[in-house]
Amino acid sequence: MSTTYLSLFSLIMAVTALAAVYLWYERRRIAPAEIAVIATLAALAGLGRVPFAAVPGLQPTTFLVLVCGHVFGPVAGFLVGSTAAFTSNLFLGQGPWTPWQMLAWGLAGVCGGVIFRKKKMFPRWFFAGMGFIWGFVFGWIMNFWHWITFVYPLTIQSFIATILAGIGFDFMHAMSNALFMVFLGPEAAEILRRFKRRLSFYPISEKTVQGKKED
Amino acid sequence: MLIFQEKDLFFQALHPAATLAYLAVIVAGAVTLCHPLFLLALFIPVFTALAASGGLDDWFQKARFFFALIAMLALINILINRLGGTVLLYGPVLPGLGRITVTLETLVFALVMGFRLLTVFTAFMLYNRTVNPDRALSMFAKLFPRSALLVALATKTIPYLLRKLQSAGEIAQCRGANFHTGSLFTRIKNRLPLIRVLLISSLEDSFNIGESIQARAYGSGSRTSYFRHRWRFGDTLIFIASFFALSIIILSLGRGWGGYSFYPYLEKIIISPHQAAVLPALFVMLMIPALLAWGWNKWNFLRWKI
Repeated sequence: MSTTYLSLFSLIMAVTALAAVYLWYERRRIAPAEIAVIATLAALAGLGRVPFAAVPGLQPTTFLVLVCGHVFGPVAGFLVGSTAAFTSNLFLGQGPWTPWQMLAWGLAGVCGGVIFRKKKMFPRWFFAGMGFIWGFVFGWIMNFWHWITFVYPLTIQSFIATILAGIGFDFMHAMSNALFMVFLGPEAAEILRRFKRRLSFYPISEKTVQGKKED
Repeated sequence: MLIFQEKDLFFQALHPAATLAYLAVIVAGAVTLCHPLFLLALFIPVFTALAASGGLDDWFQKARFFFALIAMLALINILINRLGGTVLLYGPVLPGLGRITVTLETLVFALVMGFRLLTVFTAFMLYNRTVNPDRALSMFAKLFPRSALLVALATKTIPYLLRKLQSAGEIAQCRGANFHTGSLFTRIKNRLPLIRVLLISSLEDSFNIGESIQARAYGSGSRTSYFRHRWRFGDTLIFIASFFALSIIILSLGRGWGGYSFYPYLEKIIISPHQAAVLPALFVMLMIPALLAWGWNKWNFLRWKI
């Protein structure tokens, strides 16, 4: 049954994609404060999963990842989302779901970073809609591996059946994303923007000061 | 708070690369092989290894979640699959799905897939119990130093933020906020300001962390790195056993011995003498680490030697 190779192949592809992004991040010049901010945001996003772990789907993680992506850009959004998934699973338990969660939340960060990136605005209802959609997209990405590994035949019908099996959790996730976005979205975006502005201030070097004096 | 707890276990005493190699071979085998006996040859060793690592109580606690997921996947297979030839039951006609027919082949396929999922879950339970995240992270820190710092910072921040969230909640309650009465919606809404407080104070702290690591000359030059864990004889044994197990899995996949045809009718369990030869070999290779883990607990001489 050749379809079973798809499972390992997809798992390898997911891990390779994650490794490629982290390797690319390694080669960028990045200020220590930026690493600390990304780590803190990832911890905050991951923390949201721990107290709400008993209620599947209800957590502010996707909401925070989307807002981080919107404010700090797609790369930071991806790193916040994927690191949040990995670190929170150190407390909740790693499993075959870890690479898919890392990828799904990472892509949510990229999505938040790509849309409305240039405009310094936060359309609350648009982002609420995006959070709602991401509640379902996240579920589909998570179900994908289960579908190709444990279900046969791999048809649209069987994929829809796999999605429908978890639709309740996905709906809960989508609703919580939309609600967090409506009640906290603009404020969270404003707070993050303020810290982003602070990140872009660097200590003035002596050379710059001397240059100014000469002028 | 971490799932991982430091204990006197064989797999925890190993080099993380050896434990990861063993678990990676089991997961790779479980997601590629679909012959029921090959899956059994993967499950028994990993289950024995988990038992030798004292993880059985945890396994039985989580069994309800495992079996719920397995039952759900079995139901999807039964509802969707029409390929089986031995009809056991004709069900009702469902809109969009047509007449539901339960066949012996689909039922066996669903059970085997459930068993496969159980093997993967058990392997990850062994991972959570035996691989020290700090040591695994420091192993990858050579290749991914910045990412390792990012993960380490985020990991240490989660418990700190949780404590901060609790104290912010207590302060808010002292000032009259009510988190425990009203509808679920009201209770969640009352807690939202806590997220705001946490966001501002934690980001403020992150700037201090950034300045602190910069003050310690982070990023000023090439990074010194070392890994203090030695490679021992036990690690070599596990690595060799895992390597041979992986070779057997690849050989079985290449020759088609690890496959099993469920449709239209179930094929014989063992169809070739080759399968009968490689199956015990795979089982023995994967049992070596599990038996060493058991011997480590029982026999001080073995503990001393490996």
